[in-house]
Amino acid sequence: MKRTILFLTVMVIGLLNACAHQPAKETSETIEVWGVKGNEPGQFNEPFAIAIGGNGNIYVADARNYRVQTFNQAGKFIAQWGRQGAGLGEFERPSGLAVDSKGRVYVSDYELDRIQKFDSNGRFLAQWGKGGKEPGQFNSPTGIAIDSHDNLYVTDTYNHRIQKFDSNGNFVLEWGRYQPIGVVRSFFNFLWSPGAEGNFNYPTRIAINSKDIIYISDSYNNRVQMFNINGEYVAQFGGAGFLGGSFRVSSGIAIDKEGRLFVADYYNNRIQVFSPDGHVLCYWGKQGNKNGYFEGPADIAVDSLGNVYVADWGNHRVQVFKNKEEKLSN
Amino acid sequence: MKIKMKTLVVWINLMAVVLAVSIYAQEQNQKAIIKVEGLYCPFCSYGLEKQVKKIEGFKNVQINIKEGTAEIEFAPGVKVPEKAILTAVEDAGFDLDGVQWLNKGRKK
Repeated sequence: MKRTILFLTVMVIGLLNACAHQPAKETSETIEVWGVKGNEPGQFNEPFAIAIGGNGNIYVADARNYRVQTFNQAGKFIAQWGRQGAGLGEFERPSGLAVDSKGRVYVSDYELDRIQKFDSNGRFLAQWGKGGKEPGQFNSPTGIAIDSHDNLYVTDTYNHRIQKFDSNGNFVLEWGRYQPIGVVRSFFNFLWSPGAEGNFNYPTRIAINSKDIIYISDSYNNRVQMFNINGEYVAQFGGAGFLGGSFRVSSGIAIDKEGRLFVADYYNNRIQVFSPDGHVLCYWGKQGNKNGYFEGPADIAVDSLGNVYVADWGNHRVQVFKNKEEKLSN
Repeated sequence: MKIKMKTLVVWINLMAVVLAVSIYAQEQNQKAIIKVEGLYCPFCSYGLEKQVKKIEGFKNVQINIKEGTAEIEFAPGVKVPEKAILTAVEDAGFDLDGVQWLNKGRKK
């Protein structure tokens, strides 16, 4: 039995590492860096969330500057909105972003426990939510994703659940409750299932593919869980660890046009790429402030050209990995 | 008489200095450094910040994720029970490892 376990472990480690990219060398020629620490237009203080609109513009939740900034794909600053406060259009901690098919921008607020809806120019349209545990209430909402019918899914992080709303903010359904998985059990998830399907330990980021499969970073269970739009559990992947395919706090998730998943691995300071069913394809990045390195990748987005945008939280910048998709195909 | 006058002036000056220092100390914000187990990422630190802001007398907080610490400032003269800090840390989902007060004259 011991030999079998050892053999399996070695095989898994070998398979996971076989596809690992060399970090900075492979990506150094194709990285753009946007911004430095500051509060001027184009600068950041803890960029925490990032999303791409249908027009190709990139939206960044600049958390400690209490604002949302907009850029074009070349990184040119276009506009900003918001300031500190609890009034309409104001923020205390903008924490998640999503753009619907009509270009409307939804912004979650971690401290004010609400979602605000804006037009593509940042004009306030509506808001909903307040602190609490009831349906439609939040305890630190973080990620937002939108399905093909413009329904919204919000990771209600401190309530350890997902809530679904229509585009007017009407509550539709919720699922999940607090269920942590031990680190050892999570680490050995290739030997037996960690369980806790459909429950969460601080879910943070969320993304939906073209087939309306929902991927959720179950961050402190160090995994990604998959659901359908009715909240029914489909599958999971990940597990605690350092190896390819494992996480130390899974965070941002984005999906490219091929359906591949880009998942930010917060404490391992890397981005991992998975097939749609959760097989790791490659990863890049390590801790630091050089180009291609990270100090806590908090969120990620991928545009239609396959460019990957990472909110590099602790380095107060956005890094853009150009034509990453092309490289993955080679 | 002349000597007594000089002594009196010195005493008055001394008392004025003591009074000024005392008033200054009272007007300074109270500062506490708390050590928190499991503080790893902004999802956690923002959660802690949110809870700490609810404590009466809160003025400011600086969180250091790498060290797992938070330096919290409270308004001068406000009684801040350590239980309030413990509750805030636990509501944020963490364990409190310790509290160190930086102002000796804080109200208990």
